[in-house]
Amino acid sequence: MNYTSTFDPDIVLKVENLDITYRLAYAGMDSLRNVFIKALSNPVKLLFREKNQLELLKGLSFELKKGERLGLLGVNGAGKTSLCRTIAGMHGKTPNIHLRGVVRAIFETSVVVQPELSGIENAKILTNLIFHNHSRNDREEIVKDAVEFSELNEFIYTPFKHYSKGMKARLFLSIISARPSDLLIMDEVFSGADTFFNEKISKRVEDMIHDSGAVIFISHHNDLIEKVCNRVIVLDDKKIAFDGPTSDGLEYYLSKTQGPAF
Amino acid sequence: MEKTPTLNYHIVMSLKSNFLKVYTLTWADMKGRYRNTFAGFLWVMFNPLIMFAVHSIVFKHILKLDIDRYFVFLLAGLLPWVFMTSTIQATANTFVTMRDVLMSFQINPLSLLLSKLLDNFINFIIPFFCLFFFVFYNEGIPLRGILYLPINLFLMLFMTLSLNILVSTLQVFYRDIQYVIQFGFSILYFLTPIFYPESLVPLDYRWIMQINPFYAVIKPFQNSLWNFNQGQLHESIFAAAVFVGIVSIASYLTWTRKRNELYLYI
Repeated sequence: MNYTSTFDPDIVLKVENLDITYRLAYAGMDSLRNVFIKALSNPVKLLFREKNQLELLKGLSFELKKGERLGLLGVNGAGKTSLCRTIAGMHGKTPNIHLRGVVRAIFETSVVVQPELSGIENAKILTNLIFHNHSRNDREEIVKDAVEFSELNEFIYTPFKHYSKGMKARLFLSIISARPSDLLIMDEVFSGADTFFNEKISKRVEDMIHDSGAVIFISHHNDLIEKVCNRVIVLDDKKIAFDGPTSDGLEYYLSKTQGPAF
Repeated sequence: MEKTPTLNYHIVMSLKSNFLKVYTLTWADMKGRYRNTFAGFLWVMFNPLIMFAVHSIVFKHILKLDIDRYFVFLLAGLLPWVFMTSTIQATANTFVTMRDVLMSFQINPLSLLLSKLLDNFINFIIPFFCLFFFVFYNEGIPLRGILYLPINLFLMLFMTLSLNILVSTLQVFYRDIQYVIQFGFSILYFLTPIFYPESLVPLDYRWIMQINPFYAVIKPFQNSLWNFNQGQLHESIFAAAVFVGIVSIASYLTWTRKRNELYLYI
Protein backbone atom coordinates (compact mmCIF):
# COMPACT_ATOMS: atom_id res chain seq x y z
CA MET A 1 0.00 0.00 0.00
CA ASN A 2 1.37 3.43 -0.91
CA TYR A 3 0.75 6.59 1.04
CA THR A 4 1.31 9.00 -1.76
CA SER A 5 0.58 12.60 -2.58
CA THR A 6 1.27 12.39 -6.29
CA PHE A 7 -2.38 12.15 -7.33
CA ASP A 8 -5.33 14.56 -7.15
CA PRO A 9 -5.71 15.78 -3.51
CA ASP A 10 -9.44 15.04 -3.64
CA ILE A 11 -8.78 11.35 -4.24
CA VAL A 12 -8.67 9.30 -1.04
CA LEU A 13 -8.23 5.88 -2.64
CA LYS A 14 -6.96 4.76 -6.00
CA VAL A 15 -7.12 1.09 -6.97
CA GLU A 16 -5.19 0.25 -10.14
CA ASN A 17 -5.43 -3.02 -11.97
CA LEU A 18 -5.86 -5.08 -8.82
CA ASP A 19 -5.98 -8.87 -8.93
CA ILE A 20 -7.01 -10.97 -5.93
CA THR A 21 -6.18 -14.64 -6.18
CA TYR A 22 -6.11 -17.27 -3.45
CA ARG A 23 -4.22 -20.54 -3.45
CA LEU A 24 -6.71 -23.08 -2.25
CA ALA A 25 -6.01 -26.12 -0.13
CA TYR A 26 -6.49 -29.53 -1.69
CA ALA A 27 -9.27 -31.78 -0.47
CA GLY A 28 -8.09 -33.94 2.40
CA MET A 29 -4.86 -31.97 2.89
CA ASP A 30 -5.84 -30.18 6.07
CA SER A 31 -3.48 -32.07 8.36
CA LEU A 32 0.13 -33.21 8.28
CA ARG A 33 -1.13 -36.73 8.85
CA ASN A 34 -3.11 -36.64 5.59
CA VAL A 35 -0.19 -35.07 3.70
CA PHE A 36 2.03 -37.87 5.02
CA ILE A 37 -0.47 -40.54 3.93
CA LYS A 38 -0.82 -39.01 0.44
CA ALA A 39 2.96 -38.65 0.14
CA LEU A 40 3.42 -42.33 0.87
CA SER A 41 0.50 -43.60 -1.23
CA ASN A 42 1.20 -41.52 -4.35
CA PRO A 43 4.29 -39.25 -4.09
CA VAL A 44 4.34 -38.45 -7.83
CA LYS A 45 0.76 -37.19 -7.80
CA LEU A 46 1.49 -35.08 -4.73
CA LEU A 47 4.59 -33.48 -6.25
CA PHE A 48 3.11 -32.75 -9.67
CA ARG A 49 -0.40 -31.79 -8.72
CA GLU A 50 -2.00 -28.88 -10.56
CA LYS A 51 -2.22 -25.50 -8.89
CA ASN A 52 -5.57 -25.04 -7.24
CA GLN A 53 -6.31 -21.33 -7.42
CA LEU A 54 -9.33 -19.15 -6.89
CA GLU A 55 -9.25 -15.96 -8.94
CA LEU A 56 -11.62 -13.64 -7.13
CA LEU A 57 -11.02 -10.28 -8.80
CA LYS A 58 -9.10 -9.40 -11.95
CA GLY A 59 -7.83 -6.06 -13.21
CA LEU A 60 -9.98 -4.02 -10.84
CA SER A 61 -9.56 -0.22 -11.07
CA PHE A 62 -11.48 2.62 -9.45
CA GLU A 63 -11.01 5.83 -7.51
CA LEU A 64 -12.75 7.14 -4.43
CA LYS A 65 -12.98 10.88 -3.78
CA LYS A 66 -13.55 12.84 -0.59
CA GLY A 67 -17.22 12.86 0.32
CA GLU A 68 -18.01 9.68 -1.61
CA ARG A 69 -19.83 6.97 0.30
CA LEU A 70 -19.47 3.87 -1.80
CA GLY A 71 -21.80 0.91 -1.43
CA LEU A 72 -20.20 -2.34 -2.52
CA LEU A 73 -22.68 -4.88 -3.84
CA GLY A 74 -22.29 -8.41 -5.10
CA VAL A 75 -23.47 -11.90 -4.34
CA ASN A 76 -21.73 -13.90 -1.61
CA GLY A 77 -18.24 -14.83 -2.79
CA ALA A 78 -18.03 -11.95 -5.28
CA GLY A 79 -14.96 -10.61 -3.49
CA LYS A 80 -16.37 -7.66 -1.53
CA THR A 81 -14.77 -8.52 1.80
CA SER A 82 -11.50 -9.60 0.19
CA LEU A 83 -11.34 -6.28 -1.66
CA CYS A 84 -11.96 -4.37 1.58
CA ARG A 85 -9.33 -6.40 3.46
CA THR A 86 -6.83 -5.75 0.70
CA ILE A 87 -7.57 -2.00 0.75
CA ALA A 88 -7.24 -2.01 4.55
CA GLY A 89 -3.76 -3.56 4.20
CA MET A 90 -4.68 -6.81 5.91
CA HIS A 91 -3.15 -8.83 3.09
CA GLY A 92 0.16 -6.98 3.31
CA LYS A 93 1.55 -4.33 1.02
CA THR A 94 -0.05 -4.07 -2.41
CA PRO A 95 1.47 -1.77 -5.05
CA ASN A 96 -1.89 -1.50 -6.83
CA ILE A 97 -3.50 0.43 -3.99
CA HIS A 98 -2.78 4.09 -3.24
CA LEU A 99 -4.21 5.69 -0.13
CA ARG A 100 -4.24 9.20 1.20
CA GLY A 101 -4.56 9.32 4.97
CA VAL A 102 -5.68 6.74 7.50
CA VAL A 103 -7.97 3.85 6.64
CA ARG A 104 -10.07 2.26 9.37
CA ALA A 105 -11.84 -0.99 8.60
CA ILE A 106 -14.43 -2.77 10.71
CA PHE A 107 -15.66 -6.24 9.76
CA GLU A 108 -17.37 -7.62 12.87
CA THR A 109 -18.78 -6.05 16.00
CA SER A 110 -18.85 -8.76 18.66
CA VAL A 111 -15.10 -8.79 19.14
CA VAL A 112 -13.46 -9.89 22.38
CA VAL A 113 -9.77 -9.44 23.01
CA GLN A 114 -9.61 -10.77 26.58
CA PRO A 115 -12.82 -12.44 27.84
CA GLU A 116 -11.52 -12.52 31.42
CA LEU A 117 -11.14 -8.74 31.56
CA SER A 118 -13.98 -6.32 32.18
CA GLY A 119 -15.86 -4.35 29.53
CA ILE A 120 -13.99 -1.15 30.33
CA GLU A 121 -10.62 -2.94 30.14
CA ASN A 122 -11.57 -4.41 26.76
CA ALA A 123 -12.74 -0.96 25.67
CA LYS A 124 -9.29 0.45 26.53
CA ILE A 125 -7.56 -2.38 24.65
CA LEU A 126 -9.78 -1.98 21.56
CA THR A 127 -9.31 1.79 21.60
CA ASN A 128 -5.52 1.40 21.72
CA LEU A 129 -5.64 -1.10 18.85
CA ILE A 130 -8.08 0.81 16.63
CA PHE A 131 -7.10 4.40 17.39
CA HIS A 132 -3.37 3.69 17.78
CA ASN A 133 -2.48 6.82 15.81
CA HIS A 134 -4.38 9.12 18.20
CA SER A 135 -2.86 10.82 21.24
CA ARG A 136 -3.12 9.23 24.68
CA ASN A 137 -5.49 11.94 25.91
CA ASP A 138 -7.72 11.46 22.90
CA ARG A 139 -7.81 7.71 23.43
CA GLU A 140 -8.79 8.21 27.07
CA GLU A 141 -11.51 10.58 25.89
CA ILE A 142 -12.77 7.98 23.38
CA VAL A 143 -13.02 5.30 26.10
CA LYS A 144 -14.82 7.66 28.49
CA ASP A 145 -17.22 8.76 25.77
CA ALA A 146 -17.86 5.21 24.51
CA VAL A 147 -18.54 3.87 28.00
CA GLU A 148 -20.99 6.68 28.66
CA PHE A 149 -22.64 6.37 25.26
CA SER A 150 -23.02 2.58 25.41
CA GLU A 151 -25.11 2.90 28.61
CA LEU A 152 -23.78 -0.40 29.90
CA ASN A 153 -23.70 1.17 33.38
CA GLU A 154 -22.49 -1.27 36.07
CA PHE A 155 -22.03 -4.06 33.45
CA ILE A 156 -18.97 -2.20 32.21
CA TYR A 157 -17.04 -3.61 35.20
CA THR A 158 -18.12 -7.24 34.71
CA PRO A 159 -15.97 -9.70 32.72
CA PHE A 160 -16.52 -9.43 28.98
CA LYS A 161 -17.20 -13.18 28.75
CA HIS A 162 -20.57 -12.58 30.44
CA TYR A 163 -21.68 -10.04 27.80
CA SER A 164 -24.36 -10.89 25.27
CA LYS A 165 -23.61 -10.41 21.58
CA GLY A 166 -25.73 -7.27 21.62
CA MET A 167 -23.84 -5.79 24.58
CA LYS A 168 -20.49 -6.46 22.93
CA ALA A 169 -21.72 -4.82 19.71
CA ARG A 170 -23.06 -1.84 21.64
CA LEU A 171 -19.67 -1.19 23.26
CA PHE A 172 -17.70 -1.85 20.07
CA LEU A 173 -19.93 0.38 17.94
CA SER A 174 -19.69 3.12 20.59
CA ILE A 175 -15.89 2.94 20.33
CA ILE A 176 -15.54 2.83 16.56
CA SER A 177 -18.10 5.58 16.01
CA ALA A 178 -16.21 7.93 18.31
CA ARG A 179 -13.98 9.41 15.61
CA PRO A 180 -14.23 9.73 11.82
CA SER A 181 -11.32 8.72 9.56
CA ASP A 182 -9.97 9.54 6.10
CA LEU A 183 -11.31 6.27 4.69
CA LEU A 184 -13.81 4.21 6.62
CA ILE A 185 -14.62 0.63 5.61
CA MET A 186 -17.63 -1.04 7.19
CA ASP A 187 -18.45 -4.60 6.22
CA GLU A 188 -21.84 -5.88 7.42
CA VAL A 189 -21.26 -4.33 10.83
CA PHE A 190 -24.90 -3.36 11.11
CA SER A 191 -26.06 -6.96 11.02
CA GLY A 192 -23.92 -7.78 14.06
CA ALA A 193 -26.45 -6.96 16.69
CA ASP A 194 -29.99 -5.89 17.35
CA THR A 195 -28.71 -2.84 19.11
CA PHE A 196 -27.71 -1.25 15.85
CA PHE A 197 -31.35 -0.63 15.22
CA ASN A 198 -31.42 1.32 18.36
CA GLU A 199 -31.92 4.85 17.02
CA LYS A 200 -29.26 6.34 19.26
CA ILE A 201 -26.34 4.24 18.00
CA SER A 202 -27.44 4.28 14.37
CA LYS A 203 -27.59 8.09 14.41
CA ARG A 204 -24.07 8.24 15.86
CA VAL A 205 -22.70 5.75 13.29
CA GLU A 206 -24.37 7.72 10.49
CA ASP A 207 -22.81 10.96 11.79
CA MET A 208 -19.40 9.31 11.85
CA ILE A 209 -19.90 8.02 8.31
CA HIS A 210 -20.81 11.51 7.10
CA ASP A 211 -17.83 13.08 8.92
CA SER A 212 -15.34 10.61 7.42
CA GLY A 213 -13.37 11.53 4.28
CA ALA A 214 -14.76 8.64 2.23
CA VAL A 215 -16.61 5.47 3.05
CA ILE A 216 -16.83 1.95 1.65
CA PHE A 217 -19.93 0.27 2.92
CA ILE A 218 -20.99 -3.36 2.55
CA SER A 219 -24.46 -4.50 3.51
CA HIS A 220 -27.06 -6.91 2.29
CA HIS A 221 -29.71 -4.45 3.47
CA ASN A 222 -30.55 -2.38 0.40
CA ASP A 223 -32.38 0.22 2.47
CA LEU A 224 -29.18 0.90 4.41
CA ILE A 225 -27.17 1.19 1.18
CA GLU A 226 -29.74 3.67 -0.10
CA LYS A 227 -29.67 5.67 3.14
CA VAL A 228 -25.88 5.77 3.61
CA CYS A 229 -24.31 5.70 0.11
CA ASN A 230 -24.11 8.16 -2.76
CA ARG A 231 -22.37 5.76 -5.15
CA VAL A 232 -22.55 2.03 -5.82
CA ILE A 233 -20.16 -0.51 -7.33
CA VAL A 234 -21.51 -3.93 -8.21
CA LEU A 235 -18.95 -6.73 -8.39
CA ASP A 236 -19.73 -9.61 -10.69
CA ASP A 237 -17.63 -12.19 -12.51
CA LYS A 238 -14.29 -10.90 -11.12
CA LYS A 239 -14.83 -7.33 -12.28
CA ILE A 240 -16.84 -4.15 -11.81
CA ALA A 241 -20.19 -4.72 -13.49
CA PHE A 242 -21.68 -1.38 -12.50
CA ASP A 243 -20.29 1.90 -11.12
CA GLY A 244 -22.63 4.85 -10.66
CA PRO A 245 -25.38 6.49 -8.59
CA THR A 246 -26.94 4.51 -5.73
CA SER A 247 -30.48 4.19 -7.08
CA ASP A 248 -29.28 3.02 -10.51
CA GLY A 249 -26.80 0.64 -8.86
CA LEU A 250 -29.45 -0.93 -6.67
CA GLU A 251 -31.76 -1.26 -9.64
CA TYR A 252 -29.01 -2.91 -11.65
CA TYR A 253 -28.12 -5.27 -8.77
CA LEU A 254 -31.73 -6.25 -8.19
CA SER A 255 -32.25 -6.91 -11.88
CA LYS A 256 -29.14 -9.12 -11.95
CA THR A 257 -30.13 -11.07 -8.86
CA GLN A 258 -33.77 -11.20 -9.97
CA GLY A 259 -35.43 -9.98 -6.82
CA PRO A 260 -34.56 -8.31 -3.54
CA ALA A 261 -30.96 -8.83 -2.46
CA PHE A 262 -32.03 -10.09 0.95
CA MET B 1 1.07 25.77 2.61
CA GLU B 2 0.24 22.31 3.92
CA LYS B 3 3.29 20.25 4.78
CA THR B 4 3.50 16.78 3.28
CA PRO B 5 4.52 14.20 5.89
CA THR B 6 7.95 12.76 5.12
CA LEU B 7 8.81 9.09 4.83
CA ASN B 8 10.70 9.32 8.16
CA TYR B 9 7.55 10.68 9.79
CA HIS B 10 5.55 7.68 8.51
CA ILE B 11 8.22 5.26 9.75
CA VAL B 12 8.34 6.86 13.23
CA MET B 13 4.53 6.93 13.48
CA SER B 14 4.31 3.34 12.27
CA LEU B 15 6.87 2.19 14.87
CA LYS B 16 5.06 4.13 17.58
CA SER B 17 1.70 2.61 16.58
CA ASN B 18 3.10 -0.90 16.43
CA PHE B 19 4.76 -0.47 19.81
CA LEU B 20 1.46 0.67 21.32
CA LYS B 21 -0.38 -2.31 19.81
CA VAL B 22 2.18 -4.87 21.04
CA TYR B 23 2.37 -3.21 24.47
CA THR B 24 -1.45 -3.20 24.77
CA LEU B 25 -1.75 -6.85 23.75
CA THR B 26 1.08 -7.95 26.07
CA TRP B 27 -0.56 -6.08 28.95
CA ALA B 28 -3.93 -7.68 28.06
CA ASP B 29 -2.39 -11.17 27.93
CA MET B 30 -0.66 -10.76 31.27
CA LYS B 31 -3.66 -9.23 32.99
CA GLY B 32 -6.02 -11.80 31.45
CA ARG B 33 -3.85 -14.66 32.62
CA TYR B 34 -3.53 -13.17 36.10
CA ARG B 35 -7.29 -12.58 36.32
CA ASN B 36 -8.13 -16.00 35.00
CA THR B 37 -6.34 -18.12 37.57
CA PHE B 38 -3.74 -16.89 39.95
CA ALA B 39 -2.49 -20.47 40.26
CA GLY B 40 -2.03 -20.55 36.48
CA PHE B 41 0.09 -17.44 36.65
CA LEU B 42 2.17 -18.96 39.44
CA TRP B 43 2.55 -22.19 37.46
CA VAL B 44 4.06 -20.27 34.55
CA MET B 45 6.48 -18.62 36.96
CA PHE B 46 7.28 -21.76 38.90
CA ASN B 47 7.37 -24.16 35.98
CA PRO B 48 11.07 -23.47 35.16
CA LEU B 49 11.95 -23.50 38.87
CA ILE B 50 10.26 -26.88 39.38
CA MET B 51 11.92 -28.31 36.25
CA PHE B 52 15.26 -27.03 37.54
CA ALA B 53 14.76 -28.61 40.97
CA VAL B 54 13.62 -31.98 39.55
CA HIS B 55 16.55 -32.17 37.11
CA SER B 56 18.99 -31.27 39.90
CA ILE B 57 17.66 -33.98 42.19
CA VAL B 58 17.42 -36.69 39.51
CA PHE B 59 20.71 -36.16 37.67
CA LYS B 60 22.95 -34.76 40.39
CA HIS B 61 21.77 -36.64 43.46
CA ILE B 62 20.05 -39.82 42.22
CA LEU B 63 21.90 -40.68 38.99
CA LYS B 64 25.01 -38.87 40.32
CA LEU B 65 26.16 -37.47 36.97
CA ASP B 66 29.70 -36.20 37.44
CA ILE B 67 29.30 -32.75 35.90
CA ASP B 68 31.13 -29.75 37.27
CA ARG B 69 28.90 -26.85 38.44
CA TYR B 70 25.71 -28.71 37.50
CA PHE B 71 23.38 -25.92 38.68
CA VAL B 72 25.04 -23.47 36.28
CA PHE B 73 24.88 -26.06 33.52
CA LEU B 74 21.14 -26.52 34.06
CA LEU B 75 20.55 -22.77 34.20
CA ALA B 76 22.35 -22.29 30.88
CA GLY B 77 20.66 -25.18 29.08
CA LEU B 78 17.39 -26.22 30.63
CA LEU B 79 15.88 -22.77 31.15
CA PRO B 80 16.26 -21.50 27.57
CA TRP B 81 14.90 -24.88 26.40
CA VAL B 82 11.84 -24.59 28.66
CA PHE B 83 11.24 -21.01 27.48
CA MET B 84 11.49 -21.82 23.76
CA THR B 85 9.46 -25.01 23.76
CA SER B 86 6.74 -23.80 26.13
CA THR B 87 6.34 -20.54 24.18
CA ILE B 88 6.06 -22.30 20.82
CA GLN B 89 3.54 -24.80 22.20
CA ALA B 90 1.51 -22.11 23.93
CA THR B 91 1.34 -19.84 20.88
CA ALA B 92 0.94 -22.44 18.10
CA ASN B 93 -2.83 -21.95 17.97
CA THR B 94 -2.80 -18.14 18.36
CA PHE B 95 -4.24 -17.25 14.93
CA VAL B 96 -7.07 -19.74 15.35
CA THR B 97 -7.98 -18.76 18.92
CA MET B 98 -7.71 -15.04 18.13
CA ARG B 99 -9.87 -15.42 15.02
CA ASP B 100 -12.49 -12.93 16.21
CA VAL B 101 -9.91 -10.21 16.68
CA LEU B 102 -8.17 -10.88 13.37
CA MET B 103 -11.44 -10.93 11.44
CA SER B 104 -12.91 -7.81 13.06
CA PHE B 105 -10.51 -4.99 12.30
CA GLN B 106 -7.05 -4.21 10.99
CA ILE B 107 -4.43 -5.74 13.20
CA ASN B 108 -1.18 -7.26 12.09
CA PRO B 109 -1.42 -10.96 13.07
CA LEU B 110 2.28 -10.91 13.93
CA SER B 111 1.67 -8.36 16.69
CA LEU B 112 -0.45 -11.01 18.44
CA LEU B 113 2.48 -13.43 18.33
CA LEU B 114 4.97 -10.81 19.44
CA SER B 115 2.83 -9.88 22.44
CA LYS B 116 2.52 -13.52 23.50
CA LEU B 117 6.27 -13.95 23.13
CA LEU B 118 6.93 -10.92 25.35
CA ASP B 119 4.38 -12.12 27.90
CA ASN B 120 6.19 -15.47 28.08
CA PHE B 121 9.58 -13.78 28.15
CA ILE B 122 8.62 -11.68 31.18
CA ASN B 123 7.41 -14.85 32.89
CA PHE B 124 10.74 -16.52 31.99
CA ILE B 125 13.11 -13.75 32.92
CA ILE B 126 11.94 -13.53 36.55
CA PRO B 127 12.65 -17.20 37.47
CA PHE B 128 15.77 -17.09 35.28
CA PHE B 129 17.31 -14.27 37.31
CA CYS B 130 16.12 -15.80 40.60
CA LEU B 131 18.08 -18.93 39.70
CA PHE B 132 20.89 -16.88 38.23
CA PHE B 133 21.61 -15.22 41.60
CA PHE B 134 21.21 -18.55 43.38
CA VAL B 135 23.83 -20.31 41.23
CA PHE B 136 26.05 -17.20 41.07
CA TYR B 137 26.53 -17.34 44.84
CA ASN B 138 26.66 -21.12 45.08
CA GLU B 139 28.82 -22.15 42.14
CA GLY B 140 30.01 -18.91 40.53
CA ILE B 141 29.57 -17.57 36.98
CA PRO B 142 32.41 -15.90 35.03
CA LEU B 143 31.78 -12.16 34.85
CA ARG B 144 33.02 -11.92 31.25
CA GLY B 145 30.48 -14.56 30.27
CA ILE B 146 27.65 -12.58 31.88
CA LEU B 147 28.41 -9.71 29.48
CA TYR B 148 27.33 -11.95 26.59
CA LEU B 149 23.95 -12.65 28.16
CA PRO B 150 22.06 -9.90 26.23
CA ILE B 151 23.32 -11.30 22.88
CA ASN B 152 22.34 -14.83 23.89
CA LEU B 153 18.90 -13.72 25.06
CA PHE B 154 18.35 -11.75 21.85
CA LEU B 155 19.24 -14.76 19.68
CA MET B 156 16.94 -16.96 21.75
CA LEU B 157 14.07 -14.48 21.44
CA PHE B 158 14.56 -14.08 17.71
CA MET B 159 14.72 -17.84 17.16
CA THR B 160 11.56 -18.35 19.23
CA LEU B 161 9.70 -15.59 17.39
CA SER B 162 10.70 -17.01 13.99
CA LEU B 163 9.60 -20.51 14.99
CA ASN B 164 6.39 -19.06 16.46
CA ILE B 165 5.53 -17.40 13.15
CA LEU B 166 6.33 -20.55 11.21
CA VAL B 167 4.37 -22.92 13.47
CA SER B 168 1.37 -20.60 14.03
CA THR B 169 1.01 -19.94 10.30
CA LEU B 170 1.20 -23.62 9.37
CA GLN B 171 -1.18 -24.51 12.21
CA VAL B 172 -3.95 -22.58 10.39
CA PHE B 173 -3.59 -24.87 7.36
CA TYR B 174 -2.56 -28.12 9.05
CA ARG B 175 -4.49 -28.36 12.29
CA ASP B 176 -2.41 -31.18 13.77
CA ILE B 177 0.88 -29.26 13.73
CA GLN B 178 0.69 -28.53 17.46
CA TYR B 179 0.46 -32.25 18.27
CA VAL B 180 3.34 -33.05 15.91
CA ILE B 181 5.35 -30.30 17.59
CA GLN B 182 4.56 -31.68 21.02
CA PHE B 183 5.73 -35.12 19.94
CA GLY B 184 8.82 -33.64 18.27
CA PHE B 185 9.78 -31.75 21.43
CA SER B 186 9.55 -34.86 23.59
CA ILE B 187 12.11 -36.52 21.27
CA LEU B 188 14.29 -33.44 20.92
CA TYR B 189 14.44 -33.12 24.70
CA PHE B 190 16.62 -36.25 24.82
CA LEU B 191 18.65 -35.22 21.78
CA THR B 192 19.51 -31.76 23.10
CA PRO B 193 22.41 -31.55 25.59
CA ILE B 194 20.55 -29.64 28.28
CA PHE B 195 20.79 -32.07 31.18
CA TYR B 196 23.99 -33.81 29.97
CA PRO B 197 26.97 -32.04 28.36
CA GLU B 198 27.84 -32.44 24.69
CA SER B 199 31.21 -33.86 25.73
CA LEU B 200 29.45 -37.06 26.91
CA VAL B 201 28.12 -37.68 23.40
CA PRO B 202 30.36 -39.93 21.22
CA LEU B 203 31.89 -38.09 18.24
CA ASP B 204 29.90 -40.20 15.76
CA TYR B 205 26.62 -38.85 17.11
CA ARG B 206 27.54 -35.19 17.55
CA TRP B 207 26.13 -34.24 14.15
CA ILE B 208 22.70 -34.71 15.68
CA MET B 209 23.50 -31.87 18.08
CA GLN B 210 24.98 -29.76 15.30
CA ILE B 211 21.82 -29.71 13.21
CA ASN B 212 19.55 -28.98 16.17
CA PRO B 213 18.39 -25.31 15.95
CA PHE B 214 17.42 -25.29 19.64
CA TYR B 215 20.86 -26.40 20.73
CA ALA B 216 22.39 -23.81 18.40
CA VAL B 217 20.93 -20.99 20.51
CA ILE B 218 21.42 -22.82 23.83
CA LYS B 219 25.13 -23.47 23.27
CA PRO B 220 26.15 -19.79 23.59
CA PHE B 221 24.45 -19.75 27.03
CA GLN B 222 26.51 -22.78 28.06
CA ASN B 223 29.71 -21.32 26.60
CA SER B 224 29.27 -18.01 28.36
CA LEU B 225 27.92 -19.10 31.75
CA TRP B 226 29.19 -22.65 32.29
CA ASN B 227 32.39 -23.49 30.36
CA PHE B 228 33.56 -20.01 29.41
CA ASN B 229 35.92 -19.94 26.47
CA GLN B 230 35.92 -16.80 24.38
CA GLY B 231 36.94 -18.51 21.13
CA GLN B 232 34.29 -21.22 21.44
CA LEU B 233 31.75 -18.68 22.58
CA HIS B 234 32.25 -16.48 19.50
CA GLU B 235 32.03 -19.55 17.31
CA SER B 236 28.79 -20.69 18.95
CA ILE B 237 27.28 -17.19 18.71
CA PHE B 238 28.11 -17.10 15.01
CA ALA B 239 26.58 -20.58 14.50
CA ALA B 240 23.46 -19.51 16.43
CA ALA B 241 23.15 -16.36 14.28
CA VAL B 242 23.34 -18.51 11.13
CA PHE B 243 20.59 -20.82 12.44
CA VAL B 244 18.45 -17.86 13.46
CA GLY B 245 18.97 -16.38 9.98
CA ILE B 246 17.93 -19.60 8.22
CA VAL B 247 14.84 -20.11 10.41
CA SER B 248 13.90 -16.42 10.02
CA ILE B 249 14.07 -16.65 6.22
CA ALA B 250 11.99 -19.85 6.21
CA SER B 251 9.51 -18.21 8.53
CA TYR B 252 9.36 -14.99 6.47
CA LEU B 253 8.82 -16.90 3.21
CA THR B 254 6.09 -19.06 4.75
CA TRP B 255 4.38 -16.02 6.21
CA THR B 256 4.40 -13.96 3.01
CA ARG B 257 3.24 -16.95 0.97
CA LYS B 258 0.40 -17.92 3.29
CA ARG B 259 -0.67 -14.50 4.61
CA ASN B 260 -3.47 -13.90 2.10
CA GLU B 261 -5.06 -17.29 2.62
CA LEU B 262 -4.85 -16.96 6.41
CA TYR B 263 -8.21 -15.16 6.55
CA LEU B 264 -9.87 -17.89 4.52
CA TYR B 265 -8.82 -20.72 6.80
CA ILE B 266 -8.84 -19.40 10.39
